[in-house]
Amino acid sequence: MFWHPLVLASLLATAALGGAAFVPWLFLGATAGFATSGST
Amino acid sequence: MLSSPVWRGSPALAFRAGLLVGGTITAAVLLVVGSLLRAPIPEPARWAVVALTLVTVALKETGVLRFTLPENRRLVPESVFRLGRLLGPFQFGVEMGTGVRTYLPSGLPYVAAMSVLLTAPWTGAVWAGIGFGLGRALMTTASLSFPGDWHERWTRFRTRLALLMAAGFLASLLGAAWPVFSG
Repeated sequence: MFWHPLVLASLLATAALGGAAFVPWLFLGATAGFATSGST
Repeated sequence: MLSSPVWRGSPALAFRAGLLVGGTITAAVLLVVGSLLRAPIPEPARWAVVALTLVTVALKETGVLRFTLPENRRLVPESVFRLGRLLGPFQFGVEMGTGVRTYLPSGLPYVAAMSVLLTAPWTGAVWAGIGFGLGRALMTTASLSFPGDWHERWTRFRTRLALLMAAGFLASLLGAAWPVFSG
């Protein structure tokens, strides 16, 4: 179930919380991009 | 469309590469336009505009405010596939990766765009563009790999997913703003 949306979103949010101090712009883009997943 | 066997192997890789390129193109355009807009505005004021955009989008997403954000309400035309097995998916990826050629069912990209436009250094803009493409590529990879209807699951859990992404996004935005306001 690794690919389940909730699992991925939890991992991405956790990574963003941890990585925001180092590469904030990368996670800013990644969370915004993944948030649009409902579009297709 | 993304569940088709066509979307495995090298076409899927070309599509993902296109997503990264598309995100970077949008970030580059925002950076160039932003460099003109930023000049007369002090940095704290620019961050204030970003914060105002964030609050406005949050109020819209929670139903407090009702208005429509600019959005290209259509799918990328299938005519892009006339370019061939690799270039077709690549162009499809570029168009999706830009975020301006199809639907945007979340408000976060608008806040991200405003942040890049008004505040990002050029390295930050590139990272944000690559990140946007990676975020969309993650959806593609997951929907192809998940043993079931991934998009149905997304719809079922959309509120929790939106909260998780908002938390990650907010932390990232604060991380981007921290060097400006801590020094």
